[in-house]
Amino acid sequence: MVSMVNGSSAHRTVSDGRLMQRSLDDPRAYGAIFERHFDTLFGYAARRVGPQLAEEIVTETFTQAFDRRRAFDFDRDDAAPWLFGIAANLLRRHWRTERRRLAAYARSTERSASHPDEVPRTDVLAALDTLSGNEREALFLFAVADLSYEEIAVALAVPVGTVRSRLARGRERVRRVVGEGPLTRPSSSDGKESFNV
Amino acid sequence: MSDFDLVRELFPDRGADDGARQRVRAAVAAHAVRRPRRLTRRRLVPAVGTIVAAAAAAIATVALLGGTNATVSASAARVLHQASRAARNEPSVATLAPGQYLYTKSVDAYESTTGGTRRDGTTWEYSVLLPTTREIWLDRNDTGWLHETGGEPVWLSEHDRQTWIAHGRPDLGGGPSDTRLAGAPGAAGQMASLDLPSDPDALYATLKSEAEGNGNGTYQEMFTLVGDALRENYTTPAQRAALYDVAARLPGIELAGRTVDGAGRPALAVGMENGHDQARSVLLFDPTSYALLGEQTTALAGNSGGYPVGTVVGQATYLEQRIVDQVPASVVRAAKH
Repeated sequence: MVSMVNGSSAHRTVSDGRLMQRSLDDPRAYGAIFERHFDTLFGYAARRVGPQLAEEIVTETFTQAFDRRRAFDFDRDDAAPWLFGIAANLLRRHWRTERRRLAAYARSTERSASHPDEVPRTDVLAALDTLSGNEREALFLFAVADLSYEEIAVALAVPVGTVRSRLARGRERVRRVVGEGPLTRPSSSDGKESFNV
Repeated sequence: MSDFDLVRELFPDRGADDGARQRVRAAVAAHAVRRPRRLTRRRLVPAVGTIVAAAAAAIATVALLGGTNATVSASAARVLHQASRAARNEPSVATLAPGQYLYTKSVDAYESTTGGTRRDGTTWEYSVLLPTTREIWLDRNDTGWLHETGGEPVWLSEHDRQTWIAHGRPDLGGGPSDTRLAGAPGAAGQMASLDLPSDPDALYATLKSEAEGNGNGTYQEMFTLVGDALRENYTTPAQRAALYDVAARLPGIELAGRTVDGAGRPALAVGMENGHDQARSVLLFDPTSYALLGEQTTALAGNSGGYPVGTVVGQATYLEQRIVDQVPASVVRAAKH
């Protein structure tokens, strides 16, 4: 087994781009990329499709990224958006599985819901159904993975304006369920930014 | 609650999973050492062996196919259909039984690049081909051992060699290596090729489904998947025939002409251009028997290294493949677990 360089240090002295470049010659350098980003990617994938399928998807994400690392922009400090983009492509294929999980979760939690005025999760799920795969991925990267517009643009390889329009469409569909309101990041994020679409 | 809170709360947080981290880490590490897909660069270890030396000589002296002589895909399809017929007519080979290993010996040479930034902010980089003799033993569970022995470096250009010298001739690699290969978690728990359909239509659909959405383009990725399946995996004659039939149907497939493989054997080259990397990847066939001899990647115009069109930037030469009952004890003893 190849031992990989441990990159879990709290202080990043070497950028992801530099590590990617170094890994072309020495694959062990890719280990640091793995250690830096595994938790975030696995957490995101597990929230969406459950831990078992997430393990497959994150494995595939990191192996595809390894095979395609030559195409990575070595000037970038952070590989996370690029890795999220690979994961998004893989997750997109599992929407039916993901939807079944979400539906089961929505039904189970609604049976025990104590607030009669709470928006039914099954309605939110129905709103997501009306979106295209591209729109859903942009929405999930924003609302669940906490990526910025610019990071989503890198992840999905589209202009920022496209991210903006995809998120606007996603928001519009969800808003039909919950009514009008200000567009903000989910309340549990760092709260540094708010966005208007 | 914002619109996006409603979406977010559909996805409850999951706790950390150390077991998953360890399993995924092992699989990614195994992939990094096991899957030299075309156009990837690998760190190889230098040491001299006769076969390796022959391969290096072939790389150095053969002026490879030009990038502009590709003919229409009908010619490529003819070669691939011939290869399919040859594979289908092979005498029945033994089945890979539980407890047995598929042993594959090849000589690989992939581009290895080292670079950095000087104090004045300018960058330096050198690339070299490092041929290595690669012996791999894999069982049906996709686990086994890998033994590699490096060869003499082949510089892609004099500029690369001079850059290396200017940086003090750093060691290009270590000694021979032995590696224990673990199966990939989350996979079916067996060698992926065992499940490949032997019907060309079904195989085409399977590979297309797997390739769709890939950043390299669906058909390019399908061609890569065909190469992956043929490389170090157990396939039946019918599966091999189907793989060639699928390749024959891929838009963009072309007959790139005649060349020689890494061992100096004459070969017909059939493959595809990969515009993303400005390179062409080809499979090499014996012009008479249509047996698969190896694979090669050559630079096209506009390649990032600025190499002459036709320069080999990666190749694998297949020398031997058979089913064995045991892995040499020396390899098992030396393997890093």
